Amino acid sequence: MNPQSNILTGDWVGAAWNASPRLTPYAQAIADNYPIQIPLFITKRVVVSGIGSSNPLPIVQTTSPFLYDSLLIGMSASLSSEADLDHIAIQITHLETGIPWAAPNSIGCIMIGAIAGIDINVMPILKLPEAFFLPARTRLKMEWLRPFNADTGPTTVIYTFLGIQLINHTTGFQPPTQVTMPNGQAIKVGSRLPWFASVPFGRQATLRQFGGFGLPIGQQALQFLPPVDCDVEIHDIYTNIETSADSVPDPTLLTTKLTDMRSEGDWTPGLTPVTAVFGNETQGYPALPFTEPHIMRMGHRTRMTAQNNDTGFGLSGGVVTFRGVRRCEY
Amino acid sequence: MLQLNHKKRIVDACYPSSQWEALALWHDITPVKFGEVTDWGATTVVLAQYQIPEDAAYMLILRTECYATTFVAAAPGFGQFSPPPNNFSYWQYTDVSTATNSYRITNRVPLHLLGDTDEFLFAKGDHNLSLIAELTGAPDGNARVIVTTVYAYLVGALVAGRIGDSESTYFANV
Repeated sequence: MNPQSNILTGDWVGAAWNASPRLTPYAQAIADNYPIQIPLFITKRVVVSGIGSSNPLPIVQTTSPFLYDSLLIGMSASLSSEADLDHIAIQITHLETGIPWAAPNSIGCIMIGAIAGIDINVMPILKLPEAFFLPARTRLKMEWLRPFNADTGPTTVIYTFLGIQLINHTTGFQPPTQVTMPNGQAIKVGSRLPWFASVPFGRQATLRQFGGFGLPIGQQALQFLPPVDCDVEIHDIYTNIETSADSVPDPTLLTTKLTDMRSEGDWTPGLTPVTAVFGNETQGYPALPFTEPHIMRMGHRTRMTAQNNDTGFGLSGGVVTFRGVRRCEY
Repeated sequence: MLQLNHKKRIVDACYPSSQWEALALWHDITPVKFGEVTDWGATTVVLAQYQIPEDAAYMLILRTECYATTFVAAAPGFGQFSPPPNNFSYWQYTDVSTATNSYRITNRVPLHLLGDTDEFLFAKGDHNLSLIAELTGAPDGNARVIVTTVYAYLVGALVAGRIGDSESTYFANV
């Protein structure tokens, strides 16, 4: 009998996400070292300022050092003003290793809707592209930014990391330093990290100001993901371009094309409506998955062509965040 | 055809050691064509402009075409190609202002040296690149325009590193 067809009695409770425990193989391999696993919620609150003519400084917070190792799996957020969803972003760095999650380009941060489910939307929890192993007594640093100079705010953000406490009371137990993947390959713990790269859908204004991204009527622009010093698995894409607002171009008339530079073959022979390629927070899955993860090889850059075929509206402040896993060995 | 030829020559100039490497270089080049139709008046104008994406990583300009004409039916030279005016021009980063001289990437030379010529000029990513011309007035009162087309290539650092530096331009003003 399929165990999932049993009436849940409390002997076994399926996870709410996808109705079964579906840790990634990497996360599962880590968790297998711990006999006690307890759900974990780390909630914090931040007020992101933003009114004024200049870009405000980032607000920095850290998580508290925690007694146990943990796996961070997803994130949720609620904003005091939903209108600010398109303007607030975060950079996350593991303090002990100094490795940031967002790729270092001029935006250099993650739009909040690309990393966290928003409480009022269909998907209030968004899974990270890969679980993050947070060793005991180490901290994450969160830098909150408003990268686009919108005259809104201050905005209160209540956000939660969702994960698993990993507990092993065995005398002399040491956390695993490497785990074995399903293909038999042994990899180091910490060698698969969440990776996010945000690029504008369009370009900056003629006289360049940070954040003044746009794609006027009829125009085409190219953007490139920054090259990475190791392979990156790109899983899905989020954009803050809303499909329901009246003051933006018809999303079916915003088109895009992705190309892996240095590799043979375009993903699509022509331009594709962004609704088929990018997700957003109004949709069931805000980061729309690819048909299969794409490996962007070390040193390669993914090129994104953006074209606005709408004859009525230009696009302003559109950002696309690629989500994936950085596969570096340290 | 011109762009295919340019791409082939860029790859050849990198002297790839294998077909695999040549393919990687070929796919690291993105042709870009840009230019403006500019009114011919006694002022400083932008003949062509392109914002090089941040992680492009370089733009290699290989060919610029430029001509003047008028579409006023009664005007002398209606619809005929004329050479670009004998005024001065330069390539410049215009991130801040078209008037900021310190961001020029070429010297100030007659327009024919930059405006209608084969070119070998690198520009860096994450800059607004413009071909600027300091025009004197049109020869008569008819509306005249200057049409500019630039054939350029976004190339990765690997390509840029292989084929080296930009050319130099010189004008003796004799």
